[in-house]
Amino acid sequence: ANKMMSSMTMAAAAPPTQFDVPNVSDPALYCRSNFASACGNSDAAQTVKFAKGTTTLAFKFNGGIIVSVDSRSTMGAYIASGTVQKVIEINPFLLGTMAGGAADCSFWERNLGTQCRLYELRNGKRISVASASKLLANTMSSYRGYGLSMGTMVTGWDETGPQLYYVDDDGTRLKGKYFSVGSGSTYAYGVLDTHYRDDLTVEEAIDLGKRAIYHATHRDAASGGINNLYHVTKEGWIKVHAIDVNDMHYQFKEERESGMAN
Amino acid sequence: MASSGSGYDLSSSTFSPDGRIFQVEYATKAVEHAGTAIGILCSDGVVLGVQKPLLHKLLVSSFSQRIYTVASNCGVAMTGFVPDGRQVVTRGMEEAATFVENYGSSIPPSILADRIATYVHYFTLHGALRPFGASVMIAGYDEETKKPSLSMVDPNGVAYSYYGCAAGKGRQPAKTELEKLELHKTPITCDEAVKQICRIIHVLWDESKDKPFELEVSWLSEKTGWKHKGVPKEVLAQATAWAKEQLEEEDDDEEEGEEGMEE
Repeated sequence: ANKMMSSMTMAAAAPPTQFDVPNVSDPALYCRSNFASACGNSDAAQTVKFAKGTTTLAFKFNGGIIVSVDSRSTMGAYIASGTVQKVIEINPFLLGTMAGGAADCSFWERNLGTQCRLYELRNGKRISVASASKLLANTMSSYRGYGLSMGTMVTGWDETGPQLYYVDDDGTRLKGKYFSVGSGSTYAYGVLDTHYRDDLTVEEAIDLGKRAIYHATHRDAASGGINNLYHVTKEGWIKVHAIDVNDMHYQFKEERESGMAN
Repeated sequence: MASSGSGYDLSSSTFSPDGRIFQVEYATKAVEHAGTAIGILCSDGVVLGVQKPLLHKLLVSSFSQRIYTVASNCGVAMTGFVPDGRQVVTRGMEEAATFVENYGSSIPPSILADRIATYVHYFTLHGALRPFGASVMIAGYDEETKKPSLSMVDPNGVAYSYYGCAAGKGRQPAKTELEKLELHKTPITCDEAVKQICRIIHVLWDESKDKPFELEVSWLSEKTGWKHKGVPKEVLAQATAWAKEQLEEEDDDEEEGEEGMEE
């Protein structure tokens, strides 16, 4: 009776029961040595490199949460795409970001969406951001060592207010006020650390999100394309803008010059 | 009151012609033989109380517990067959622990009540299993909505949410007393509720007929930091003393009334 009960009451949406694994004696070892994690240059030796390279950021403030990302995907020095959607709309009030392996991010965040919906149906209320991020972190933990690559921020507005969690492929789950993930994150942090305040107005926050991504795309070769920016409020998220970072370059250049003239 | 099952009562997987499952009804009857349990939802928390009849003079009373802390924010009281109740409580503990593992936060009491109810209900579906002969009351604090709640699960596997509930031997008079308190209109405080539970249990107890008993009382309130705890012994002793005073006053009033009528 116990086993049956476990599957009845405690199973969340199960990930697919079987994946094709390499036909070798130790699939985990094979994955680790041939599909190196996207962090750093551990795949320097591989001929076909994972699609990665990115800047994503999200920060909490009194008016909600801003999520701002770029849209470039690189395989080594090849720009595979300039129009990647790196913000994943899990459901109308939860957003996830994509950094690391694009396939891993979109698949597992879509799976997270399924689990969140089942939670709603079973329990008659929306899942909290803390629980949603925990579900994703648990999934990552159970696949640890299999070569998944994902660094994401799960964010939304639930009963306890605006929430932001960072979850990555080794099962790390951190709660925080702001995070930036990806190869361009160091540049974004520079701008965020300097100008971030709890009490930004919505316009100031949008400008900060925009600026941080612009600076990252300017200096990091693996980031660029279009800045997609979302604002999460109590009623859910809205997409604020999608601006080409090259246009931003000339806008900020003008600003600098008019600033210097004064 | 008991109608003859006449063959439809041998298994929980059999309906009677008039649409009843007799085994579940018999299980409910088993609860009615056990000590009274009372739960009260208060303005500032929840209080649970269970009457433990001391069956033998030589029994060490503190051993057999009726109220358990299932999670720091949830407590469960049970009455009926003690081992059956223990099984349900243990399941509650497992549900609460795996919830934290999977969802990263403490289980909301409404979800815990639902899970326990599903578990209890499962045992009414199988021919090879018998229903639990125990009712459980779940007192909890929901950390997201910031509200305390009280639920009760019957042997038939249904969970309802209550302002005040009672189960066990004295449940009918206890429910009458609870209704007099009008908890759904004007909730009382936890301190007041502890006193009322003591009073109601003592009112129901008949010195000549019933065995001596021990009262287990627990609470969950702002003062306890929203953690489920046993009521301290001094508080319980004070409440019991107050309850006995109230009973004596009532007895005195009755005597005076009789004298008045005689004249």
